[in-house]
Amino acid sequence: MASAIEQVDLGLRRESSHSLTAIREFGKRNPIGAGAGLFCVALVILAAIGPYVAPYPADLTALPRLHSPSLEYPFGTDNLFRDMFSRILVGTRNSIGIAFGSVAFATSLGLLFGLTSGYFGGWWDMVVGRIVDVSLAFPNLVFLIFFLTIFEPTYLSVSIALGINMLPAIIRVVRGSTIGVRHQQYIEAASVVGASAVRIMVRHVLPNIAAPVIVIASIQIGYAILVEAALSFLGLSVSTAQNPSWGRMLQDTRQYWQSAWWTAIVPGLAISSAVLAFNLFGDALRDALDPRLRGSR
Amino acid sequence: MAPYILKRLLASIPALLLVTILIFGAVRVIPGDVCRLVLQSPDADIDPQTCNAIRANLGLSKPVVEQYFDWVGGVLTGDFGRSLISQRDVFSEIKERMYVTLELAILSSSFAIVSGLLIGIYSALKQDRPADHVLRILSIGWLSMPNFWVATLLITFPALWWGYRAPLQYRHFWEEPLVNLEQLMLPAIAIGLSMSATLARLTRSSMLEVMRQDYVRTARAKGLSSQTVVLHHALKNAMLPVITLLGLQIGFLLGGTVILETIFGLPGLGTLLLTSVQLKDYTQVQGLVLFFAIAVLMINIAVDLSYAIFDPRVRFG
Repeated sequence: MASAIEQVDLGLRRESSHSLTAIREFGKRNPIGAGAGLFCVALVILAAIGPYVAPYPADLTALPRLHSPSLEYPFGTDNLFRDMFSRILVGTRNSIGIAFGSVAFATSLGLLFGLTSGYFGGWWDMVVGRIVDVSLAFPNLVFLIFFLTIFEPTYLSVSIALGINMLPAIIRVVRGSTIGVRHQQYIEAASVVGASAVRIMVRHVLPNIAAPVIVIASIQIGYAILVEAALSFLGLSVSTAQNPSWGRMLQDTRQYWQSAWWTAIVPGLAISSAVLAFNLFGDALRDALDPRLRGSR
Repeated sequence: MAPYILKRLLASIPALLLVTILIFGAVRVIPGDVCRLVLQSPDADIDPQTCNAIRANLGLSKPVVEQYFDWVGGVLTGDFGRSLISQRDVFSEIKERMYVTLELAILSSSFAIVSGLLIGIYSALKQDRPADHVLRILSIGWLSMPNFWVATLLITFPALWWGYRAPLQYRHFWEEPLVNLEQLMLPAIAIGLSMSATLARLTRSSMLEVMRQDYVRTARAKGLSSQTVVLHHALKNAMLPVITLLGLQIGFLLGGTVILETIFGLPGLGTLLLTSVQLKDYTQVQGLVLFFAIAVLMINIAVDLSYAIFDPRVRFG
């Protein structure tokens, strides 16, 4: 009994030290990608704790108006007497939260449709393929604006809208990779010994297509941050005074950009650096996980 | 080639039908009452008789399936219905404004193609030298900047530093071509930048791949000038994936025009879409979304046809 526990313990430890070495290796081979990855992790943590570490509440309007960046207000204050630094920190929640929500939605549905259509083929594959083709006919913002006119923008509806928007790309990747492994011997072996289709897809196909799926998901997060910013710039997202978003901050201060340069630069840089970090991290992941895809896109 | 075009057009009919069903169905699930919208009175009590008259007038008292066929039949004859709010013909509104969007799309994609190809070719020729690294970092940076932010910076800072402002009142190209181009230049650059970054990255990798091929070495061995080799032998073959990407980017391009027209106050389809959305003018929105979808499908057919120009091996039939 004791030795069994010990073995399990040992196994776990070996596993974790293995992944630590892998991460260290990744950092050594691609320092830019690893740095970007760290920045992404920091953003995710900030999305969780933003309101608690911000020096001022996001909707506090008792500060000097349009104060330029200083020690007290590192990113300056906006036209409504609010601290931009705090608003950027709190705004991480909207941008990153919606980006992760939409990518989670798109990835799970993308796996469902991509795996089944790639594995079974036939009429189902045709139906899914047709729907993907058709959805590519809607320009992204046109579709999103249309969708968010019909359904009021909430966390859920914006995430679903963005998710549907990136679904075709994910379905294509999953389907393509599934077809790639579909006729491998280990899949045939599993089906010969009587494994059900669901079991084969989950236990045998999924682990073997994980790499491209992880890569496309991380790149789509950058895309989702960009598009969420555009939507909140147009006033079609979920930001409020207490719960700002980076795109909305740009819209709010647009009249004052000429007199207060930081109101234009700070939120824009926040969006760009977050997107850049996820793009670089996705690129690095692609190089590490799937060398065949290197240099594509 | 004509039979191929016909075949492609026929093949796009099921897709178009699916698009119409999706749009029609989506508009029908919108909560809220049409009467209140048309009368623009959200809270007041509405006389049920006027309400019924409005519904009958819009064809909403008919069964849903009949409404669908009425709408599709109308679209086929160029009748997209009437705006709920302004009562104007939806399609004539679209026709009036589509030239602005079309011009913006053409200008920004030409900017993207020219700059993307030049940067991509240059990076490929200078592979792994400092210039290549700088251009790659720049292009991944461009990709990360929201185009509406770039656009607003392009409006704000030239105005601040040099007092430059593009003329406010919109002029059509056929009225005052120079003023018109001046007005469209900045939005075209803002949309084109991120597209050109993607194009540059793809052109670079695709050029690098082609440059290693035997026929390029043969061309060099024949003693052709390196200009001829790059432009005639390598570039032409490197173009195929680039064209595919261009086709895939059309949707992003048109999406980009929506937000940039709004920022620059250009009277195009994008501004129309946003104002119709704000007014909840569903017939206008429905017509516009359908128009965009048809445009994207047609442009993609055109992109497929252009393969033949770059690759003589592609034969249609």
